[in-house]
Amino acid sequence: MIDMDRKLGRWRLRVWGLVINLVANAIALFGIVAVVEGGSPALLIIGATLTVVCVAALAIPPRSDS
Amino acid sequence: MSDAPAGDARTRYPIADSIPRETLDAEVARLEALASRPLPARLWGYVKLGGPGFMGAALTLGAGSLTASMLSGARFGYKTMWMIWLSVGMGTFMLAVMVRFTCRGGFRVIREQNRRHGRIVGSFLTGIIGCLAVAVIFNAGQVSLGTHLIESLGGLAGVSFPTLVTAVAYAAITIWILLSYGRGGSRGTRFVETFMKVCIGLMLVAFGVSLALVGVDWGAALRGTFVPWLPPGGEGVDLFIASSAAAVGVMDWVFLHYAGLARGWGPKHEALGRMDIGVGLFLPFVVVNLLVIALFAGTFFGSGLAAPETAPELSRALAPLLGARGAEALFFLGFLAVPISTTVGMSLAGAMALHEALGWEPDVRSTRWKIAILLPQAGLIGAWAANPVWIVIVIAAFLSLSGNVVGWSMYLLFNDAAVLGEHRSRSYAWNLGIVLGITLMNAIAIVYVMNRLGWWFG
Repeated sequence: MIDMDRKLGRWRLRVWGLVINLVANAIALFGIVAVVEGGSPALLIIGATLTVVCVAALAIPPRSDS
Repeated sequence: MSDAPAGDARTRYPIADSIPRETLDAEVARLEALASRPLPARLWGYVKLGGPGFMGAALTLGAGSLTASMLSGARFGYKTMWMIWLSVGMGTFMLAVMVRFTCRGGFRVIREQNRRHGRIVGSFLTGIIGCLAVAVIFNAGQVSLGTHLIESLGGLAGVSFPTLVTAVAYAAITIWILLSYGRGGSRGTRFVETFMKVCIGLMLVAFGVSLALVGVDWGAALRGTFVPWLPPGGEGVDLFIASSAAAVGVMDWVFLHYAGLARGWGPKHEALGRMDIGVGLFLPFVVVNLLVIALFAGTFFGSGLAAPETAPELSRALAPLLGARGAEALFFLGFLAVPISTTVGMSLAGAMALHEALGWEPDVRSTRWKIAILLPQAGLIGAWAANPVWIVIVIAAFLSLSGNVVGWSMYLLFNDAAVLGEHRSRSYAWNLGIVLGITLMNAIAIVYVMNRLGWWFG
């Protein structure tokens, strides 16, 4: 299991996860607009996949030894 | 906390200081006795002992959320009912976090945010924008609805009230309730909580009776409650995001936390707090909204009748369709409980948040508390005019852009061993619920920016 409370640069991994999730959500929403307007689903697929990965990682609770 | 027994992690909150220790201990003893009772008796016991959850439901069931439900029923029939339980259901994960902070944290959340994440996140975004500004600005909508309903009730009795009279009546009722909070040991707080429970009961009876008169298409209602449906294209995405945003937000989180502290909740109250979220907040919110959607679906949807756009107009348009004059009066009375209880809840939340944001200790007898709690009465202007549009736009912008950041802050506190020690998050499912809620709030912020830039569906 990843230690989401390990420090990476300025912040903990958990904080980076929140930031990346926000970016992923934005990509997915741009993707939805593109699909509804008849464009390519590529952005939606990338954004949605990244969102699922971030959500799954952020849900990991702190380790018992933290 | 000098008089707290050993091992009692109860957080000192001045509003709870006037509650005698024996009262709090007796409540804990009743909770312990309830734990071994059969489920129905336990549930009823929790309903009687609960309060902050009911206050949260009464706060959330306001002019905004009910207007959304009325319009949804009139435009889409029963089809969007599923969004109600889903959106508030997702909000319950964060509400459970607030109960954990209250009962096990040993801190007051805005102050802890200030310490850990800075004053911009704690005092400003959570306290001032998320609670106080919302209370002051959005009370105008409650006043507007409330005064119109008093006017409609007078009309049924053949009396025509001038706006000044309805505004004074509205202010008198809400100020009387508000100034009772925290007075006389636990009596004042319990009085306000009971008032909020009665308001919810009145809504349930009034909308339930109205629905019985109008009739329900049970098949369509069941499908709408459990089978997801959205209008096609961008409208569907917009509707989902807007409905989710209306359900549970920063003010509900903060209010539940401080209302629990004001009741003197400690570690042994956590089970009560969770039940209070389920029975006091989730159930009433869902049932009242479902009743309202069904009511407008049964009368306006597919009938060819034009549904108005605002809550006062919608209620006036519906009342004559109920047939009996007594039913009209009951409908207006139940509907009046909506803005009154929301004004009371928002004013309390605003006053508590302002005190925390500025580092003041709340003293319900002080002039400072009274001024803070009466600030939202500025919304009385709503009796004569619509909301001042530019202020609403500015506050809505801050709210849309900051709700998710406050959510991040709460999630990080909950997952921080330095903050909660052994009571930090240990559950993947609980964290998952919180993160999904945060993701939805991210979407609200992003869609707000995209709308401003003209990038969101035309």
